[in-house]
Amino acid sequence: MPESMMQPDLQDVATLNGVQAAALARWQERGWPGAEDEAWRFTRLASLDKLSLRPADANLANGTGNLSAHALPAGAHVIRFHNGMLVANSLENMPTGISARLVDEDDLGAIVDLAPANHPVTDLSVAAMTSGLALDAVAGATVTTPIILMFTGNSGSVSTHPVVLLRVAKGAQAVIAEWHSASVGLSAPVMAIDIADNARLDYAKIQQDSATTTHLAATGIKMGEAAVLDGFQLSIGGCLARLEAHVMLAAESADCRLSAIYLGRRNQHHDITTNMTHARGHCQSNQVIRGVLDGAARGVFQGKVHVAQDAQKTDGQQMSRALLLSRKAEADAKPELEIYADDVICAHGATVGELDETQLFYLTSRGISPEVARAMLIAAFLDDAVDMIENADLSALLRPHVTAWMLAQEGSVNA
Amino acid sequence: MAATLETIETLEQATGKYKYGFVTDIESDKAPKGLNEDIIRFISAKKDEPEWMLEWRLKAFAVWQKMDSPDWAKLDIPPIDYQDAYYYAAPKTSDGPASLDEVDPELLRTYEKLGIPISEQKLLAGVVAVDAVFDSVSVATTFRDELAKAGVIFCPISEAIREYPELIKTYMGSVVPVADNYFSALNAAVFTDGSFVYIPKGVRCPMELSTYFRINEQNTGQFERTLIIAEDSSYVSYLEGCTAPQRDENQLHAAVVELVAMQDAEIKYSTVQNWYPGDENGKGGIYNFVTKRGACRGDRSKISWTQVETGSAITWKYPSCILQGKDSVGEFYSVALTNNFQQADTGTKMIHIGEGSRSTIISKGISAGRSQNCYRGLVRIQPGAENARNFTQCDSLLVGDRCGAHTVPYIVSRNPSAKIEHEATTSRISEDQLFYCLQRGISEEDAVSLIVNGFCKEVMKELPMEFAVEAQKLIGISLEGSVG
Repeated sequence: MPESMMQPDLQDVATLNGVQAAALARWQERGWPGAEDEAWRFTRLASLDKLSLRPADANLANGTGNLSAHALPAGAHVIRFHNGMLVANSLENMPTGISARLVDEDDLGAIVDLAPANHPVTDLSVAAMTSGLALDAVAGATVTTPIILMFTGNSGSVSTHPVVLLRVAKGAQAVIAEWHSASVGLSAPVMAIDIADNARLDYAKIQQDSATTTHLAATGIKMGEAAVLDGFQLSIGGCLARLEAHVMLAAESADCRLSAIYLGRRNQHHDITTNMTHARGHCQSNQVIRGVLDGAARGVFQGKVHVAQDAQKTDGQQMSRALLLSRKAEADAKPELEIYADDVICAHGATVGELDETQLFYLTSRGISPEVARAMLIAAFLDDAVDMIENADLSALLRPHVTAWMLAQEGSVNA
Repeated sequence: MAATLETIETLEQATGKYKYGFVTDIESDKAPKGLNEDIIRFISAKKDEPEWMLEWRLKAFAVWQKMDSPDWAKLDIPPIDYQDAYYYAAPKTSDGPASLDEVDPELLRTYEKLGIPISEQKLLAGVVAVDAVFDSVSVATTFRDELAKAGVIFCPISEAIREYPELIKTYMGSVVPVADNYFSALNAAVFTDGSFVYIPKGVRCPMELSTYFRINEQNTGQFERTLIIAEDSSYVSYLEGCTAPQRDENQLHAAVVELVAMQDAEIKYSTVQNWYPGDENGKGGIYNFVTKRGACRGDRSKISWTQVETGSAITWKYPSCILQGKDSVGEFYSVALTNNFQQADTGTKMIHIGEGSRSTIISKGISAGRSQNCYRGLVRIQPGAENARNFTQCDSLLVGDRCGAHTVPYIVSRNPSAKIEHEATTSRISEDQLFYCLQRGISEEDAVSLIVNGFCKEVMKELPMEFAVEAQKLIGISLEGSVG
């Protein structure tokens, strides 16, 4: 097998069995999606072929990856992954109501069931798993302490394949953040999330990897009856990043909010792909997507809302808007409705454009400098999405990144 | 027409199953079954074509053989045996008819059943000219004289190939290249007829041009090719309507329509597509795989597509605009209605290249029975399309809980000054509206037809008068059996 990113060197994992062996077989059969693959039409991986990577091993677990300067929420518990390897002592002193351990074979089976099926990242990362973590919020527990999964790394020649199973048991509540701030060749995390009946998960993901990292994520979420997900994804870092999340509303009255922001500059490529499946009736889903693109960045949003025949009384909403700040930037969108039930309210909207000149004029005519006015309008544009986050800790964790991105904005001022 | 009379008529038609389901018995001059170079030579010889046209066809055939049938649409297409069909069938006549009197009376009666009494057209004082296409050969063309006076050329494309080779060489395949897709390549190889329209500089076409396409002979695919050229500052409105007799075997139809609008020219292209959709069990019906595309070549040119799609078992159709000219305008108004086991994957492509180009897309999809209805559209803004503007609205209506409505828009923007807006909704007929109608003594079926027609109004108002009336009735008929 050639040692390239397209076919990572998997010789160390060639002796797998069980779930991982099956995943490896699927991966070897299909590999990375080709140019013909409709799901990857806006995000091509071919140009990354020249990278030579191999999955990280235990030697790389002990590093000094810096924690970001941004303040963590007070009392937050941090679980660290370095170069894709779980830092063992970070599982000590878990908050009450949360259990954390390494995955076993049953967990891997559950992960494959939850994560996006027939997906290259799911198959590759389960096969080449660098560390597997099973996190459980026990039934009925209300855990308000934010648990932060911190992913760091400092080896540009490795691919990292952390795999996490997160289960929020019946009636439990948990607050989880995934924070990627690594400098590796490829970061390919798999998140498998199961939110049981009447449970609630507040979830945020920050993708802030280095400018040379390729980030390809596969997140699968299953929601039980009357389960609530308040989720948010922020993509700022990486050279090429695809945050793909599949949500299965598997029982009635589930409520899913999964919004996202992508911020791109230079030659960055951000891809937010969501797949919202309403399998049962009386569920609602709402997605607010905002993107700002500068330099020669490219932003992609693909969002599919699938409503099954039995999913009557579905309410599926989705709104995606992209702002182009530069002549070389490109925004692509493919919102998609696939509806088989008749008693539903489903809508999506998508816009692409630049800042509204009349709004700019309104502000500048009141003595605000053009730079500040632009920053204000961009901030307001992004606030539509950020305001969706209900949990104060997660909101506080996320906002500084958005602000920092804007401050680093070429031509903007410290507004 | 009084509303009550119209309602009665609609009801009568609705009870009569597929209104246009009959087969005219006229002996056909057929090519043997199958598709190969010899068949293409046969078609070319039948059409008395020059050598360059035959070469063009053979080249297209070579290209087609290397291509695969597209599978990206949300359609379940049974495998098609291209060798098991006839590619040429012409109504048997020794020479072309010199006047209407020479046209086979059987044919004329067919048209009457379809509602286009050619013999009465002349009396109707120049409202519409009909270049009627019966199976694959144009048999009757009216109002040629009046059009000729204005300098407008409106003739079968086979005639244009002989009479205006320079125009054909310049424009045919310039908007839809031969190798554009599987079905356009097939069409280029075996097209049998279609219409050619040329509007000279500064001419406003004195009447609306109309063609009725009709599939008649069993097992003959229709491969129409239409080319419309509107020179600087000209205007033309073109109507295309389709009906087909009822039959059990699936029929393939792969047409290509090319429009070219030069500076300040405007082309309005309206379609009512009412081919046999198959029976209520999904048996039979036409496969409608059409490539329609218009190029707004000149500044301030405009191309407007309006379509009402109620027929065909499977529809694969994306009338598109390439907006090359500065401030050029593209429009797409569509109603796609599917019932029983029909499948439709239809939409548009708006390619913005010119500065200030604008496009509007209004799509109304109605699914009933066990049908699947998909809107698929692309809005692409190229880097040079400064201040381009697009507005897209896609609404889907579900009638019954066994059908599907899908919306797949693609948006690609590479210019920050461009503004693109897309919105889509999916819902069903509101109980309130239905109750309101029932309570006033309107039957449920009529109420649904009324509400659906209201839902489609934005598109219907874009249709020329004659079509609007027919289209409204069609919607009522097509929804038959979907409620209750």
